[in-house]
Amino acid sequence: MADVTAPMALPAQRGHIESRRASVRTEPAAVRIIITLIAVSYLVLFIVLPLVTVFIQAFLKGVPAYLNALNEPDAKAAIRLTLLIAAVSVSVNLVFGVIAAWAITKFEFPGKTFLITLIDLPFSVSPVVSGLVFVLLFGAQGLFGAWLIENDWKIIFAVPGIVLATIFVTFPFVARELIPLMQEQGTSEEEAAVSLGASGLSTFMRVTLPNIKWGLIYGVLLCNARAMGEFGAVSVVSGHIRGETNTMPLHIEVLYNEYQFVAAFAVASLLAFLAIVTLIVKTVVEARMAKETE
Amino acid sequence: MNIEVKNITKQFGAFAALKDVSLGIKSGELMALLGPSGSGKTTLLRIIAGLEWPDAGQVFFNGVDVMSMTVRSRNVGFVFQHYALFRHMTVFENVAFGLRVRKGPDRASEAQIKERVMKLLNLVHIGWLADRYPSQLSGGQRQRVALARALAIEPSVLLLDEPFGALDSKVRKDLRRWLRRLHDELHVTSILVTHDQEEALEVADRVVVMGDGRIEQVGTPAEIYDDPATAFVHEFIGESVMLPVKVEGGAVELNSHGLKLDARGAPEGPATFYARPDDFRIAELHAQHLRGRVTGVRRFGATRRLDVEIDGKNGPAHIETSFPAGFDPRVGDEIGLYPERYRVFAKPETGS
Repeated sequence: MADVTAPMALPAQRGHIESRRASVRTEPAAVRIIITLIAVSYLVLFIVLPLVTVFIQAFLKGVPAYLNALNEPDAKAAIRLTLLIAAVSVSVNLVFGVIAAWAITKFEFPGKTFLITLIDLPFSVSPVVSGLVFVLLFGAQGLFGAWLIENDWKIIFAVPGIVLATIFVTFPFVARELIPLMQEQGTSEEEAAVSLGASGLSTFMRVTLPNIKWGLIYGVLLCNARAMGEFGAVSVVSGHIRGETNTMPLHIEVLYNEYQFVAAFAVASLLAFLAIVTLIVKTVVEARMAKETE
Repeated sequence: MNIEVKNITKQFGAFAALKDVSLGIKSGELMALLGPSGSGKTTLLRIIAGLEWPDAGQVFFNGVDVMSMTVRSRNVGFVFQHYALFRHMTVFENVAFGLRVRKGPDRASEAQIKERVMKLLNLVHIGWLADRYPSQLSGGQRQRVALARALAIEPSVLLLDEPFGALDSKVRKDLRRWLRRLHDELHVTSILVTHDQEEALEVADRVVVMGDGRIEQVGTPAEIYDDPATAFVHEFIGESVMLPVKVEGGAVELNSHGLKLDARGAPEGPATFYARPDDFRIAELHAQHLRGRVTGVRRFGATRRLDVEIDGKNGPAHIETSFPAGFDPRVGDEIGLYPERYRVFAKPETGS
């Protein structure tokens, strides 16, 4: 922003400043200002405005109405369920993401490239398809459907199905964040640790983990944001049972469809708040990572 | 501790890194593995350490087969090419690492660790850097930390992979002399991998010259330089003057005037005559000497160097040599040269 405001400061001096800076910047001031304005207004229009609207709508009928909406039993159930789903799927993806990244970056084995491609699959598949896959596998008409009914296991239209769909959709975040980082760091520090007598576990805890901790935090954060916000895949497997299988995004949709705008946006504001927190922590983590790799 | 390497073979895909390599390293010796990149020297070092496994062959430490032991239990101090210091630990913690991961009765108390680490840091002259992080150190300082860290576990053998490779030439020279003095103090059996012949010849007790996955020659620096066993060693170590020749009747003919020299046991057929530039004696112009034309006279401080073009039997070759006082050559002069020392290898001339 400083770059934009400086040449705009005094029109009388502009010619002078231009001639001095001509060798550094080739574009005329007008072009620079227009391009910057386009970028900023685009951001305001498509990102900031909707976000602000969420909070305005949420507080439209005052703070008590906002708090009432969040205090309602179905809303509380949705929040609890979302937290549970996020806790389970983030922990599972944390463990398997680290294992996958470790295997890919520290060892050579056949089919490695295929595995890297496979990790990206959830990103390229539509969330609806991700949800449908689990219905086709575990639904009443599904591959394991008959067996599951026989043994009285409920997966689809129940919490396990939502957890499975969320794990599937959010799997890439931790692994994708760690693979480039661990590839860049190589294996020599681990080799040094082992040659000094450290066990495998000790090497991981004392050498590998501290080296990847910021990337790991960042990956977990993104994974968590997506796990709480996932709509498509969860919508397919949840069955939309109020107070039971409705996560926050699903609950918001139900409220909205029933014209309960304040309540819908009140719950939505929680997700929006989560997004803002994620962004702030991300900025802090990135600054720390940049500092440590100096 | 003496180390015995027996018939080691290692293949990386289609590339044969080591081809049936056997080698003995005496206790307390500083041995250099010298060779161009791709000659297998680093692979051999990593196999001795237990960081790499051979396809065939064995490694013995003091007569004990260590092939069933991992790097963790071989008690080797390994200094990595780019140091591999733990970036999130201070210099002190880097050196203390090997002591801290010990379990059971071997585990030292905090006070013992502190004493040992500071002793080591002072030994490598960086005691004052104990609280710094690796990113705050210069290349030479990192090298010393890596060495102190490897020595902390009291290794039975010290393995150094291109320890001075990433340093500038001034620091390199200082550090390698210092490493030699340190070795004379500690007497720990050491193997050093390098592609720098000057480094190997200056530092090591014995040098192993490797080329293309094989050992070309093992010997003291003097033996390697003065008595190269193969054409590869002659070309790789020091300067070489090479002339294509033909061995006939146990002799080689160097010029068209009939200068014949003994072939030194080289088999009949095409061969290459090798000599060091400084092994040519400047002599009078004579049919029994090589004829040379002076193409340049240069002065480097106290020494004067002469560029000479000699007419070998198959075209000219260039020699750069020093010359005695009282001799005042000019560009364009014709002089005689006689090889005091030379070698003939049955190998077609390659390049240069």
